[in-house]
Amino acid sequence: MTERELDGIGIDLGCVIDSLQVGILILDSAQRIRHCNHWLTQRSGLAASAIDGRPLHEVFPEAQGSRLEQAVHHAIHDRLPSLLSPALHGTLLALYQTPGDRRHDRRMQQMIHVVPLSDQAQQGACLIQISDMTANISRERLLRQQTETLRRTTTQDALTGVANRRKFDDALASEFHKAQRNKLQLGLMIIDLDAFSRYNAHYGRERGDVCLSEIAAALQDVVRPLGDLLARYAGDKFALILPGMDEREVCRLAENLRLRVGTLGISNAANTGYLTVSIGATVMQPSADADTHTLLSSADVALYQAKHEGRNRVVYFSAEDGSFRSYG
Amino acid sequence: MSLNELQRDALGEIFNIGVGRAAASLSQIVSDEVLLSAPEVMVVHREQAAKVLLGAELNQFSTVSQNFSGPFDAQAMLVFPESNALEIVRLMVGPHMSIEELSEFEQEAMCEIGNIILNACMSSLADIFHIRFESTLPLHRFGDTNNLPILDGDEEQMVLLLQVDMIISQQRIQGHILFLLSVPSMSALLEHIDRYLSAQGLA
Repeated sequence: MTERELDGIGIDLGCVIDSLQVGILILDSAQRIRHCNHWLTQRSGLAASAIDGRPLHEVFPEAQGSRLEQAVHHAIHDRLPSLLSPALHGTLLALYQTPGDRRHDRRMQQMIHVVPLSDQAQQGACLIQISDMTANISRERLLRQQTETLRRTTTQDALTGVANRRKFDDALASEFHKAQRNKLQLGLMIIDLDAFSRYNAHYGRERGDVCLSEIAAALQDVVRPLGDLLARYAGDKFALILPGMDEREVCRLAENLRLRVGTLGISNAANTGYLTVSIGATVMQPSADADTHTLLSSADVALYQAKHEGRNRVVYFSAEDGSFRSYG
Repeated sequence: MSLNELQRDALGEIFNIGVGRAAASLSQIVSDEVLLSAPEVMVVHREQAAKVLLGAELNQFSTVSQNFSGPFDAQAMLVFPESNALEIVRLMVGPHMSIEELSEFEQEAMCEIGNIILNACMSSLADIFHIRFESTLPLHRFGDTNNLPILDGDEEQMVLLLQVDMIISQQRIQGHILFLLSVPSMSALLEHIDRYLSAQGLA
């Protein structure tokens, strides 16, 4: 609808601008404010009479030397439009949603568009349009926090804080593919708490939970921060993915972990010594047609053998030649 | 249609004045030194420009575009591989996100950065040639090579292609600025360059 058509139905363009839910400032070629709308007087706390006819930098001293001033210059002299994003300028102008916000100097988040206007004298004029982005930005912050929480809860074991089974399955599949592609070795161990059901029965589940957390923390201390992944594999079982490690390194680490748990000084269920772990370890360099099942079951077989040999030990199983090697 | 050496040098100089101004504005925004340079200007066909962009290892792009109109019309685009765009936003806004969650907030920041660089290039041209352009507001888009706007449209379009090097916090980030011009617009641009060169006593 053109201005003339608006006239025809008795609507004044100034009223329309005053009804807009964005801030409007119209500047002449000398950067003097020739018009501001109701939204702007409300949010700036200034009367229209204190704004109209005065230079932009007098009404908004915070704009002096800012990108807004450059953008205005650009619009008036080069006739090019600019956008000032909330991410880079945020609270540039002293505009507030409420008087309470003003008292606490909580400025609104702003998105500012500066566009050239053609004036009758052809000297250049510009329009500054300010949108309140406060709600959008707090919504985005909230969404981001929620995403972060969600990501943590879907990949982390709630009790021990190490990776959960879902994360373990994903990580194992991806490390397996990486090892396949780059022809690298991939180590895996399964760490099982010895006689833990008896421990739980003796001391109660609550103390059992504390014990699991302590052991998880002790194991986590030893893994390399990049690449290795410690996960709670099942109730009292942890699994550790070790990309790039060979048999010797995996067995040395497993032995180290076994001894470390022994020195935590957690009494066992019979109160005859300390709680121990059995560890099944394996390494493979996966061929193109191999799958993670072989790796997992090799570690399982090794763990079973460690239990069978009397617990509190490390057993290594090689899927290549079907042999066991015991440590500890 | 191609540039002779004098024309190429003149355009290179003009655009470097532009990106230099843009760097000053960006430095002011982040209160840290941002350096920008455009070492080379080429005139190529649309397909060649696409090939240069595709030559990059990644084929996901961030583009900021503005349409300029005046004595000649140009669709100007700042193109960064997506990961480079993310790096710029990280360095300028904050370190907290991955590409998947690059939100409106960061896209707007990228849009503004593009706006500053493209406006600076075009106003540098306008200053030197004593002409004026009008322009649309910047538009930011993510996309792969399949929907890069440069790959569709008028066969006859020519592309003024500049490589840009951006240095923020000692990190060097590369991208390209493209100006898509119709053949008549390209001729008009060349005329302006020649007029400028002869006014300088150079041609």
